[in-house]
Amino acid sequence: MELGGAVVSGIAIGSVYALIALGFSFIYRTTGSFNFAQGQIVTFGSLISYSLYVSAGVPALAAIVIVAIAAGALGAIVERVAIWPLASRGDDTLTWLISTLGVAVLITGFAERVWGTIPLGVPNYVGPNVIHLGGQINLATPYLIGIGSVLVAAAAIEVSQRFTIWGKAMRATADNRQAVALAGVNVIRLGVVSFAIGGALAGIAGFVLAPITFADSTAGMSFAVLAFAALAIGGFASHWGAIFGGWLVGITESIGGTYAGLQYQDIFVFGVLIVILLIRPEGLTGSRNVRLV
Amino acid sequence: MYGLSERRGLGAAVAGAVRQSGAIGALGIVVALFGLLTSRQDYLLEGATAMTFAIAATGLGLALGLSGEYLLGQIAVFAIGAYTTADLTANRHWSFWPACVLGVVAASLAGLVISVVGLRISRFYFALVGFFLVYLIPDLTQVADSQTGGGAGLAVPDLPSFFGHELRNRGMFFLALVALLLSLVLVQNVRLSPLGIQMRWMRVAPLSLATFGVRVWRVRLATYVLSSALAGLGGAIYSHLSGYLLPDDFDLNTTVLLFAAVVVGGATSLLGPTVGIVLLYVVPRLVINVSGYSDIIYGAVVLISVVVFRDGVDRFVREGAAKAWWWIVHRVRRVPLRRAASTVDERQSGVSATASAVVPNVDELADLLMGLRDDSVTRRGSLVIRGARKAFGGVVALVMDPDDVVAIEPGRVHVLLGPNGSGKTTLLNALCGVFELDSGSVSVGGDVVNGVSATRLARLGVSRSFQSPQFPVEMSPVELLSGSLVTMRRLSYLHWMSSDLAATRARRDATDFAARIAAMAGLETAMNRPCSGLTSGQRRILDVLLALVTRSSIVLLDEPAAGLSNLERRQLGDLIRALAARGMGLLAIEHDLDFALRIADEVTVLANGRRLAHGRPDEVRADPLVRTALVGGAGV
Repeated sequence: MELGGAVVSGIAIGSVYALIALGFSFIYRTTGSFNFAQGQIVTFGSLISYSLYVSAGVPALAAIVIVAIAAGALGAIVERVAIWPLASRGDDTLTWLISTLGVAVLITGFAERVWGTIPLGVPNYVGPNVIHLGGQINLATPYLIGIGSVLVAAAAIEVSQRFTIWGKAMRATADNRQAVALAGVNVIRLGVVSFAIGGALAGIAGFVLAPITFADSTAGMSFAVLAFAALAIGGFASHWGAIFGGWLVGITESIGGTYAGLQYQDIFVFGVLIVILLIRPEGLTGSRNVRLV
Repeated sequence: MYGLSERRGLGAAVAGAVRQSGAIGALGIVVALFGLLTSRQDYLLEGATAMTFAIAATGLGLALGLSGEYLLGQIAVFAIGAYTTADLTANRHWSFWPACVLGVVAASLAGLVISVVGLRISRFYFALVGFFLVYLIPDLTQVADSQTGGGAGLAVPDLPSFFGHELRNRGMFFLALVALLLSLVLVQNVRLSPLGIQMRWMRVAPLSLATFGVRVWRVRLATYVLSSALAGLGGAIYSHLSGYLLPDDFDLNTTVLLFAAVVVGGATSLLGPTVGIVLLYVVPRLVINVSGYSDIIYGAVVLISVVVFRDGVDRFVREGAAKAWWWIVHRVRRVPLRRAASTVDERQSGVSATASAVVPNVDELADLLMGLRDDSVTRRGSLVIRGARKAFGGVVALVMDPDDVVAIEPGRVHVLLGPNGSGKTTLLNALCGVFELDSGSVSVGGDVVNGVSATRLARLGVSRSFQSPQFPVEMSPVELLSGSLVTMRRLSYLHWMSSDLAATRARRDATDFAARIAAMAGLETAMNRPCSGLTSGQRRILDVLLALVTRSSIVLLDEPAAGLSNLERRQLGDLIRALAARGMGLLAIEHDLDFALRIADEVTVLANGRRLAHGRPDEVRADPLVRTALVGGAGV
């Protein structure tokens, strides 16, 4: 039952990637940019969780709320310093690739300064450490929070995009930013909001990961990369693509790690990503995004 | 080559080249003096390291600045060059020089592989895939640990030797300097070559490049390979600087360093990436000595400089100086605004006065343009579209009857009339291979060419102009015209990269010719200035010229007279007639009825995607249906 175990743990870790990818998808659809510092916000979420839950003794439920708010605020700050100065001046190049990378370096440096570079252990928030699913298949309980959050978040986005004016405005911005701006919607402000939501989702991912992988100030880059792979595989068109892609990346990684060795797991993900992009450049669920010439 | 003796236009091109060579030379002298005079070993080592990064950044500048390609994986390619070279000298005991060559080759091959992916996926995905590759470096070194030493690193004990002398710190410093200068010269040559012009074109308008008959994928491939080769060269030298290679050498920070250096230094300038490395790598290392805060400060420096200098330091300084001057003139000396404005007005009206004073010699221009074409192309025959239908999603753009034919025949001018949204541009796009028809057929000289790409059709002798002209506006009309000319003279990349005699001569001939054509078309005053300063009429003329400066026997013009003055319009009409008289087949989309009927041999009127009328100009003019469709009321 090695395979079953790999699939279950793949879905578990994949849900965390899906949470981050959901944030990416949100940001991309409203601003057309990509927050490279998202991975660093995940580690920031883990580190804050450590400070709150371990150092300050805040209850887990309060901690997750505070983490989401703090990470959301950090997301909004990233937008203000790295996107807004470029976007507000009508800069349509990909310069934000570098400005958000600069922020990523900055946050990593800051986190190393405050929390050090040694991974910090966080005890499990609630219940037993693992659940036995029969056979040799175990699931670390914090992942349940991850799977739950991603489903709740997707449902919330779905509902808000159908029924609230903000949600509709965001969906419309993804389709035609200029038209929405001309209709009187402040698309710049929508950008901040989507960065804040993306940040909060990343923060929750960090909270989920803290008891499992420890809070590690240097691990940021891996989350951004793998969540991007999730999004690219699933497709940018809908948030369900992000979730589906997240699970697929998680499963690929976990099967690669189980059968070929840890150093191969991300190489496997990369291979799957390239193959899928070559066959379907728009992702598995997306609309066409292929180069014309 | 074209029997020209004038050197108009060449002067500017040569002056530009000399100025840039001068800048490279000056950089070389300053850095060499520093290398000779300093006695600090750490300065020499850091300087050499900075120069290897500058080599990779220069390559990235070519990809990012000219072609707009985000090669975020550049540092991974740099690592491939470094590890290949180090593995060969440390593990297999090769001498440094052949190992270095193999490092560059390995990196170029990596560029080739990357390009296969890049041809298929969008710019943004491509950037992130590159980033993923950087993230994989530690895993990949672990997988190949017998070659790379894995996470523990690889000791590279042997120093390169040069005619029996071991290159220590100072020697490596000068090796890196020579490599950097050679890279800059190479990149400069590429920038001046047709390839460089095509790279810039690809960034703003890949489609219009394809309609000139350029294989866009080849330009993109050349970009990746060149850029990767330079990264490999930087990496090969880097591997022998510190005596030790670690996967951590190639991390997020170095990725950011290369990219930010290109953006900050000015992506479109030759020396920009080098300047960026100085600002982001050398200066922080000299000024800041606070350990522990380095990542924070580095991140902040990158962020602030990318936001402040997002168009490059050079432009920032130039625009800043212009603003300061304005401020001094208007605030300090209190020159009234109105007077300053009127001077500008006078100056501009002076320019346009001289511009319209040039009366183009239409026959001579037509002769020159026809001289580019050889018989094999002109004999090919007419371009015919039959029964064209095309829908975009639910929007039906063209629904012609199966027997309806629009033919562009050699020696005749066919004008396409119709209100907005009647399918004129759709028809033109289908004619030149921008997309495939849902049903119906396109043929050239009787051969059916359905589904043939724009590039291929251009090579069959069909070229076009665009409704909204697109070209790299930082370049001058002469550069653009000569670039599309030189492409016709087939010289290998080696000629262009070494900028040898053949390349220089080809460039000079093309520049002469381009300048002559531009002058004849009335662009004389603007022909050596960036296109961003052209009036909309001048842009239109340039775009029409670009479609004509090809070997095509059939030329499709999308609203060539829009935005032209009456005089310019008359001259354009004369030129079109003169070209048709010499055997060219032309299609022009028009809105101006009088102009259209004056130049046409044959007119097709479209409305709502259908063919409303077809015939000689006088027939069409008399048709009441056409009057209703075009003029809008039965009473007119």
